[in-house]
Amino acid sequence: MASTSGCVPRDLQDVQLVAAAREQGADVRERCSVRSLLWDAGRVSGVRYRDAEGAEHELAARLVVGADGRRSTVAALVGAWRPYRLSRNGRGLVFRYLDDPLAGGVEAQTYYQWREGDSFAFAFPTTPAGRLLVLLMGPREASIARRDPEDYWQSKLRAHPGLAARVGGAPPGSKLRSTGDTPAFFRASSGPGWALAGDAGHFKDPVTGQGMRDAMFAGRTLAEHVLPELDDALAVDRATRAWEAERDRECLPAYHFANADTCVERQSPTLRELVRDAGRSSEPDISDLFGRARTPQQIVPPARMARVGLAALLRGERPRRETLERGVGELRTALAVARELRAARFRSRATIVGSEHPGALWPAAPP
Amino acid sequence: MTRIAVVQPALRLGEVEHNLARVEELVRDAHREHAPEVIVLPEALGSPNVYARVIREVPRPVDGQPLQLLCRLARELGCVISGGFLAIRSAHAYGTYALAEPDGALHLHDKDIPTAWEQHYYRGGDDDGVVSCGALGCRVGLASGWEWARSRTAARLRGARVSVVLGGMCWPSMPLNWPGPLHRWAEREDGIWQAQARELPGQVARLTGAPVANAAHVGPIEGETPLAPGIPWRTRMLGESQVCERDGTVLARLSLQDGEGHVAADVQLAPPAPLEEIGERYWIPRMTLTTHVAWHAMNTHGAISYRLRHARRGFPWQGWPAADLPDETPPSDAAQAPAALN
Repeated sequence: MASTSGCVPRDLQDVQLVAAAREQGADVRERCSVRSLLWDAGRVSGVRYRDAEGAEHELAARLVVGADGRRSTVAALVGAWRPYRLSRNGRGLVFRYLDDPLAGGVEAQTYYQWREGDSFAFAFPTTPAGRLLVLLMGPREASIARRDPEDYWQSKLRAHPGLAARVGGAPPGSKLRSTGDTPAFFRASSGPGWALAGDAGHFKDPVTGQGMRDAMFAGRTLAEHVLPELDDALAVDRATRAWEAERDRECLPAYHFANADTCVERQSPTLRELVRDAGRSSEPDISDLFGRARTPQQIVPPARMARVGLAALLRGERPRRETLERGVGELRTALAVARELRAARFRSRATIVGSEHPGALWPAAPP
Repeated sequence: MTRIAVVQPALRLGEVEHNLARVEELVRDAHREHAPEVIVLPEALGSPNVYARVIREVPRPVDGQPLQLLCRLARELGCVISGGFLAIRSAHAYGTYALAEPDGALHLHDKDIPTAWEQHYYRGGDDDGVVSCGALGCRVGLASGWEWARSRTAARLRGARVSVVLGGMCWPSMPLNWPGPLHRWAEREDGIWQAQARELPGQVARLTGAPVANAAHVGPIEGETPLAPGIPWRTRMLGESQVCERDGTVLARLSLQDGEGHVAADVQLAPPAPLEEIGERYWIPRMTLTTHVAWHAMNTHGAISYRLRHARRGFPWQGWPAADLPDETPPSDAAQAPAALN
């Protein structure tokens, strides 16, 4: 499956963000770390931070935004460390950057993914032009890759002939990086005088490539909600909570869609049929998911799901009983997700069977 | 023995930020002076509860600023802290009274019946107000406002064999600005209420057989008069913050004349030993005819007003995304504060 896409490496994006912030008049203090928060009558009123020389300073603020990642210091300091909604990810994550052997061609503008058995491989064209990001996901992926990276890489090329063809002729890329720690979560992301943006507040499986997009969305919409209210503490609190609700409405469909891929199992016959259908019909294309042009619910309403499920049964690639059982389960999950989205309950702890997986571990807060 | 401090604040109408900051100062001061195991604050910390349009804007999310203040102070000062505020819990506002422990445990109680004009701004809860406090190692009864004055509250706490009763009061007097015969009538009622406020904590102690600590608002306040737009209700909060022994002996007290401040006393937390029978009456004090009439009329007026305003989403707090906390939150580390969820 392929679609036109692009990926910006995080370090390059951070440089651009800092430059843009400075251009708008922001005072960016680099190499500083937050040590604690200042509180005033139950409200966060600033931060105490340490600079590069080790000196401590206090900074008063009408709103403190923790945009400091999954292991957010601010989340721990405001008491929002443990997510209220957490789903285990059965897949590890391994990636490497390569010089694209097909740079300049249409392939270098195309996003690829291959799904063979329970193993996934992705190739994303990245910035700057001529670079390629290869992402590999599968069970116990991280530990296997760390044991013998090159052996792992070769085994993945054998498992995914499409990937081998796509990267054939590329010089050795960056070293393989990996993590097995990617549970999806929602944290309480607003409170008196504070908010959590980006991965600090919400994280989902990287399989859909939505994390940076959602972080940018969170930053922009938080500013839009809060800026008109900054002179009124109560209005700021109301705005941050309303923003959190909006963020959740925006991110829940992608969260559930990504969760479906965190269960290590053979690809669903219904999904396979859906991909085939997408190439033949004029209905919304599944690749719209990745650009967030449409939600999964808009792309695969129950009627379409039933139709492709029936087609999968007739095709008979897998035993019909298995196809039927999985199709019914997927339909049930889709209906539960649709119900949740309609209900739009703030900070819902509902567990959607088939999307969310129990047993996720969560580390202790930093001391 | 367990040292309990009661804080008696003079707060401003509708100025939630200012009031919470003042409460924090008083709590820190009480902690410095008395080194208590328990600090008791009144109900309605966001603003004194009187009939006034501005009270519609006082409720805060149940996990919002007032609760964060109580929880963080309990953890930082290493003592149990209790206090109340108007809380948004799911789709409604309640008069919530919270007991926060140093280990992060939190207990919430919603006042069963909003008193008279309070009915305009929030509705009653249905929990029994009995909580198990790990830090004190006993069962604690929580009471808020005129819950203190109802026989059924004493019966409930006595039935649960609580070892101590903690709670807050926000008792304004009759209007003192009305002219002529109305003034004399209001003055007479005011005198009766002052006496009732003074005697009530000791009465509850004898009825439940447990020591009590009641923290009350004090000081001048100006509200509006129900069903009489434009006529101010100038009055004062009656004070009478007290710590009483189980036999009703007043161990520490702040009266109306004492004004703002805090006092403390040592009590023994032990199995309860009631000294008096609970009567069949609705009220523990002998309420006057005026009080009875005002109670029923204002309750009815307020409840209808709340329902109508709520149905047309006329409360500013209805714009907040709705969520709630359970009445009981177990101990947790500092990185995990109570957060309202669905």
